[in-house]
Amino acid sequence: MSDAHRHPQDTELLTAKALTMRFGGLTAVDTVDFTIPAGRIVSLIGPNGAGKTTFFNMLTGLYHPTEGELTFMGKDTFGRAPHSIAQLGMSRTFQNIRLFREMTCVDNVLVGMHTRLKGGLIPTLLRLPSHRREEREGIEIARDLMRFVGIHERHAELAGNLPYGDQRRLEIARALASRPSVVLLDEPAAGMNPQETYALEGLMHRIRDELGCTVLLIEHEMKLVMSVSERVTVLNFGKKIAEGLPQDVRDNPAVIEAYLGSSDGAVVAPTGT
Amino acid sequence: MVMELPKPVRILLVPLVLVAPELVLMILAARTARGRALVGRFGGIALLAFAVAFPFIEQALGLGLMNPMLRIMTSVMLASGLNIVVGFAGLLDLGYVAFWAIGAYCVGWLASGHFSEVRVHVMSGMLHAIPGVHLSIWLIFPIAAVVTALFGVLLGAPTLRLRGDYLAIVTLGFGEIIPNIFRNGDDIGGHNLTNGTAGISGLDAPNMGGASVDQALGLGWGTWSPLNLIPWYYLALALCMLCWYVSITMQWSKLGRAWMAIREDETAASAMGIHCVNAKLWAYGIGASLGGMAGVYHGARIGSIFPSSFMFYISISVLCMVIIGGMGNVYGAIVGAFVIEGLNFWLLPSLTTWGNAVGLNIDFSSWNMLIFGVLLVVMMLYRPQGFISSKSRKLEFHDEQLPRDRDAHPHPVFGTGLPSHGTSRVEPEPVSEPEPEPAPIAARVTAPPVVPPTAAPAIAEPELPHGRFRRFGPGSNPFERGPEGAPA
Repeated sequence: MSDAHRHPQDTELLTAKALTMRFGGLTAVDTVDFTIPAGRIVSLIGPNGAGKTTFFNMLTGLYHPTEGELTFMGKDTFGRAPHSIAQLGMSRTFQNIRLFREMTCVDNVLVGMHTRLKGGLIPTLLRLPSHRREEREGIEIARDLMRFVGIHERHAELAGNLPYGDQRRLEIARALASRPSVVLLDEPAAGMNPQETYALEGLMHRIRDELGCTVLLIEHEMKLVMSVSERVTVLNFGKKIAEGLPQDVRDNPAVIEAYLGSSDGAVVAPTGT
Repeated sequence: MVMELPKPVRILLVPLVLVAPELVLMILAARTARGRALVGRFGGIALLAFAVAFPFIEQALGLGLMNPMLRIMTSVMLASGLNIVVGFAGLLDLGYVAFWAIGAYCVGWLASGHFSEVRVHVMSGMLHAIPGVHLSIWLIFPIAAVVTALFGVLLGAPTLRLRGDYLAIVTLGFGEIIPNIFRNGDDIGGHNLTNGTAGISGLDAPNMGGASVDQALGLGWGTWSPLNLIPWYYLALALCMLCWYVSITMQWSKLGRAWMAIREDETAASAMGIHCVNAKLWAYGIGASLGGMAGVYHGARIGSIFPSSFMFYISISVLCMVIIGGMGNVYGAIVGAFVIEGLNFWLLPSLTTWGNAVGLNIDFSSWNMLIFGVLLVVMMLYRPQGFISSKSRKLEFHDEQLPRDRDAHPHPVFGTGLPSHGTSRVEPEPVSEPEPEPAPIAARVTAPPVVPPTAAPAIAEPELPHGRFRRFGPGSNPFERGPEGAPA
């Protein structure tokens, strides 16, 4: 049943080499090497403005990187359009929720399923049985996915009318709908209370274990990052300053300095609240 | 007896006697779920029956509503076409009249003696000796649909990178360029393409094979002439239904959802794998082809085509119909067309006539732009979403088939997002059993004990009886479905 082994564990689904993004004189991301190993939950952290979201946007094609190499699923994706990268099996959520607000929740998830549906013009216009079956099954999968993230009772509501936490969950359901190999979650815990954050942790494990989907996480909530990640990468001023197991990163002096500034005095681990 | 009543009273009779009871019944029925289902099933049929019977009712009562009705129906086609571009895909198009004009000129070129140096007859049912290109109108509809779709893509392509105001300005330009080309197209490299301001006249009457349509079908409608409107009415009805069908079908398809996603958030749409360029071009193409078919119909009915009838204000009034009716809603576009064109071609002229009868010498028709303006302002202030809001979508999937909330033991925080536990998963018994009472709320809320999420894969889920809709549990995957939606 489970599809946890869609890709052999730890094969590199995505490889970025010396990826650089410059906006005019500002180097937002500076020669960062990065990999996403299959079947893992890896995190990208860093202080505000460290270039995390810029890095995400390069991986998903929203930004055209200035320099570097980018390989995803064995294909060169440097500078590819977002839709073409999404078709290869990468999917994401957004830091500031970007749902299709005036569409129902089910339709939002169905849009996420875009790359998986055939939906040719002729079968659609003639309402051929194949089209109707595809639509029906799509709706069933969408409902199952909404149940997966826990908002199934809200399928008919407009996405914009959902409470904040549910919108975040709907965005995750939408991202999962394309059955991606990698899902990129951009600060999913932002604005959540500790209880919800804890539940989110469980959800991320289920995404990986039950859907076989590798997770890349950007997060400020250190407790979540430290408990859920199997590898943490730290960016600061666009540069990668540390990478490794959560506890190693936590004790890394460079990371502590990045978060707390250099002081020769007390060393406080960035465990957050 | 009815005929003795004054005309305004007779006109009022139609909505009062025929439409109002239906509406009242519908409103009453809509108060219960069962009634709503009935309205959904039979409301459309009742409306269609009324539409089919309309010419006879109109004739029997002598209302003189036929001409305004045909104009309204042309606008219904235009509005539903523009609704695809503006309402679904969110691309503000101020030059939609161009496609109407191209459609009309298609029929002008392909069904008249305009190109008198050639003699092409395809199923025209006319003497072969008559010069010019004479195609059957039934061929011209698909041809014009394809031609205008191509023009839609052609005109849409340069605007793909534009959003909002800039897009509107460019489309406005196209809406001016096309009619101007037709106006000045009487000497293009020595060829008289459009006959300039004089336009193309003497269009063929529609034929079917060799015989005229009514002969072929034995309907006794009489000939298709600008004076006998009944056959034109049914043609318009068929075309309106085609536009409605295309809109409705596209709306809830992969492409239609892609349009709406682009309208809502283009960046997010592209991140979902939507090829925005292609989807937009499809919207332009399909929207334009509906407008083109409206143009063919209009040209053929009037029997002559003048560039002066493709003015900028038509683009605007079609846009008004879409906005007033409710952007993104097919029925809204239809209602909008009825309101605006009903005002334009029926209410205002009628008011003038009635005013004249009682000695008021006011030409209300010349007030139409003023009235539109006021109507738009009032609508935007009090009902900006239009008469029929696109938000009021009826869900088309079958709720009654889904056992709701029975399997939903919502965790107070994350619903079933938490690792689930077999204990709280109440599976509905086969139908014969009386439904077990769902556990008390308190029990359901407190039921899922907090288990460290890392333990999730280890929890053994009891074997689920496979219903039509599978429950979600650890180890099950929504994507793994066998054929026919059965679990793999």
